[in-house]
Amino acid sequence: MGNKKRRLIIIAVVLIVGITTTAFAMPRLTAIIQRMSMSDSEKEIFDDLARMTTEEIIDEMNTILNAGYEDDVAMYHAMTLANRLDDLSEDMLLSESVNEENHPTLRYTLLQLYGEKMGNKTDSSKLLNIILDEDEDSNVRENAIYALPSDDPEIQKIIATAFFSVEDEGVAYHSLKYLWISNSTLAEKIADKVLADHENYSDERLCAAITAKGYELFKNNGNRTFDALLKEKDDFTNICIEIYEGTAVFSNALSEKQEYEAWKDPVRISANAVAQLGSEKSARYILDNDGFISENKLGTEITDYICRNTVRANYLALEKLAQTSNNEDDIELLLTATKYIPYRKIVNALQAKVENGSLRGDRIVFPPDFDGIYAETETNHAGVTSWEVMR
Amino acid sequence: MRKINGKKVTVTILVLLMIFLTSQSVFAATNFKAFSVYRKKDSVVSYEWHAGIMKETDCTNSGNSDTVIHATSQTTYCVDAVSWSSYMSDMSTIHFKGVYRPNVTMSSTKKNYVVDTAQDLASTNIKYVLTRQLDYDTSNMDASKVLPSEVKKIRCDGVIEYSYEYNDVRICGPSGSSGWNISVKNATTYGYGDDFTPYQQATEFMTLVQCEIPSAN
Repeated sequence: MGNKKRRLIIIAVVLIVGITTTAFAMPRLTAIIQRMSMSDSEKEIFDDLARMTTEEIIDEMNTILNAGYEDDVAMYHAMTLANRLDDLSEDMLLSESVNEENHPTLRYTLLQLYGEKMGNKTDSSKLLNIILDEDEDSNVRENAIYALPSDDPEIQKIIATAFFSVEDEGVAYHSLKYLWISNSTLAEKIADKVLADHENYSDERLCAAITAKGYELFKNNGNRTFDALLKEKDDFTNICIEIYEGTAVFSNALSEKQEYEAWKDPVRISANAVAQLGSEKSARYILDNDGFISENKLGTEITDYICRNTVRANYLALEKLAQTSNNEDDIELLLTATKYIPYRKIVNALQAKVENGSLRGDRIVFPPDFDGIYAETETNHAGVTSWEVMR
Repeated sequence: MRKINGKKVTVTILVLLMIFLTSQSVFAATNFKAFSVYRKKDSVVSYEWHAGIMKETDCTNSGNSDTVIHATSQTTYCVDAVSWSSYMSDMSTIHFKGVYRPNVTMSSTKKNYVVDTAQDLASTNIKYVLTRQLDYDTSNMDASKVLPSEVKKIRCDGVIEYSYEYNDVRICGPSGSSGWNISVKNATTYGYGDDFTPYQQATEFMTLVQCEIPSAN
């Protein structure tokens, strides 16, 4: 058979397969869309799906997602699968999630369901194969990380190694995030290593390291003395600002906006570590007009955010100060606090000073968008006096 | 010629003036910061709504700056602060469904707290999830708050629910003094997210402020 003839046959076969596939697939997609769009309520959509077999639901998800609709359109199918999680076999969930014929969104959804169903009893060796496979879809790999058992030190070590060794930046980020959630001490060690040598790490790995370090300072600051934490926080903030200002560090991988978001937030998390200590000293450190506020190079938005959190977290110490002190420095501190959050009791205490002539009324300044409603101490559902205590 | 009743005219003018001033003050006072905005595409399902939270006071004065914080199924940093035009991109197929607020009044301070929390979510790399509003590590349900950096997966309505409830503004969930706050590690709150959709969140658990876009004009 000549080359020309062979080519014609191939073209004919491709055309026939294409036309046949389209002819069958389009009515199927149309039928799904019609059924879903003609439903009178979400309940009807869920009821229709509940009558279908798991295989049919998975097939429909593939059809919708492969047709290019937004992932959210498959939400009802995914939720129906979640509702019958007890009846889904772990083998099916895992095998379908690695089946490359399935749409990536379906694959990661099944992987999430597998993790949810199995808890800390997932098959870690199979998941690690997915995570460490550089040819695998990134989204699937990242979701596989969160399906891993969170309480196994050996797995944590493998993921710690993966943070440094994998090529995929997203997989590296989520490896460290998995660790700061499951073993924050180990995550901090990795973060310290990266920050000490930050010029040699990629943007995404640096973002993860900064967040891991900030998280540990924020979450587990109880093991450190105030002075030790303050020094550590200062060192950390200095590194963050150094990296932030050293634009040469950044590649084009992150947009300008992502860069800004990526760096400013870990810095404010680290500042929050101090803010959350719940002491007059930490409030003074952040709110002192000659200190943090004037030195902060990251803009008004972050300053406002950190100061709000400081006032909120240190409310009890500030209120005590408002009731007991007439010292000029203390009043200055309370006036600064009121500029960020006008707590009723602190404002009342300041106004009492205005009435007795020890304070000029125009020195009390409220936030620009203040609507006249003073802030109150909040009580959380668990009965803790100030919910900030739990943060 | 009919005699003009000066008193009636004065009263009428005053009433009209009051109506005018009242309507003006309502518009002038409209501040959509920390309110939720919902939109949908011309796609398969009428109920497939998408949720975002207003970072700015309205959608018109902020130009191209970040106006709305929302979660999409994009693969990295699924929670993101975007401009209004980006949120409403592809206007030919996207329909605005309304501005909604929680059923309780929020002070300006509370609104700042809510936006701060949504911004916190945007600062950490979180995965998208279709099956529930929110996912976090459940190995230790010690009733502590789930920090934004501890959120592993989230959906668009999860950003709304978490940002409000992290600041004690209840949207929905089991009644009573506990068990409704999705930001607290708790078996009940972890489970209840399964049955909710963005459409239900808006129409059943929040108050419609207006159907039009959150414009200052």
